[in-house]
Amino acid sequence: MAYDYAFQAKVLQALDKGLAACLGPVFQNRVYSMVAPPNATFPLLVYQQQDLYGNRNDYMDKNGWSGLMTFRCIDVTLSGARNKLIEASNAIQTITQSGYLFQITLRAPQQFPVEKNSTTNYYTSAILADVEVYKYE
Amino acid sequence: MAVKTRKRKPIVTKRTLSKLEALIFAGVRGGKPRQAWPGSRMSVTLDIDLSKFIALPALAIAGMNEGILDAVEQITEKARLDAPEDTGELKASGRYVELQNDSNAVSYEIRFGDDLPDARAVFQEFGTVNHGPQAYLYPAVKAIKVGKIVSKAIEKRIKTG
Repeated sequence: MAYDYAFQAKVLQALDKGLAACLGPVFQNRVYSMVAPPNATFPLLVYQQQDLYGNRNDYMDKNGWSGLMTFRCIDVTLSGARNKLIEASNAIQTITQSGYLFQITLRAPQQFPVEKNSTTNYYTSAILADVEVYKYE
Repeated sequence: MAVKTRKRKPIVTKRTLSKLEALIFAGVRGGKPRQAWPGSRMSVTLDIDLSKFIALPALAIAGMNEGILDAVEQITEKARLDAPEDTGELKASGRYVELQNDSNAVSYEIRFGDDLPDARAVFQEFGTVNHGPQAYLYPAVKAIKVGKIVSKAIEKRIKTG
């Protein structure tokens, strides 16, 4: 297998596509990177890199990347957010993307304060995960 | 008669160090909430089980303790530097607390957000409904190489006595 010198540039795009495919059905395609768009409908999921940039994680001649990520399920009820996180945690294990191999290990849940605006309370249920991506041919 | 000299086996071998590093990183876990919902503080805890190293001489243990404390200080300082600044209160709130330090274990918690009127410590690290994250604590934990700092401290302690 040829070493892909552009692999690190492709990792996040592969993750975006893979996560959208496996988590989209759980959240009616409301799966966003970093931040939800304004006036988004809830529940939704936001995922982000928690360690800024991750690490190159090549294995012998295989391209690889690893990083710490957070998956935040946001809803207008606490039980809604909690239930969606459980659904998402199961769905995330089915992630696939042509040409890539993923390994996602859930690390620990993260407690979040309630966010309030004038009319609504927003509840977040989140989990940290160690994510590894490898080139697969 | 030629005197046979036996090369002294180093107390801290490469293997010991890699084991030590693995244990330290296994102990680094994030976001351990120590207060009732709603949690408004951001913290990570470094727990090191010293019983695994009971065979190490006292000097090495002392060096390890110094190294761990040094690493905790460096992580706290880096997180303080990286924390987003508006009023400066978030930066100023960064501190570490010794939870346990005896013959069995060493445990430090690095905290941000104590005594602040809101949950900005958590919201800056992880983001909100309307804003993306500006992580400062996890990147600091990752950037500071705890294993290397600890191994250097052990080496220094063994050399200087």
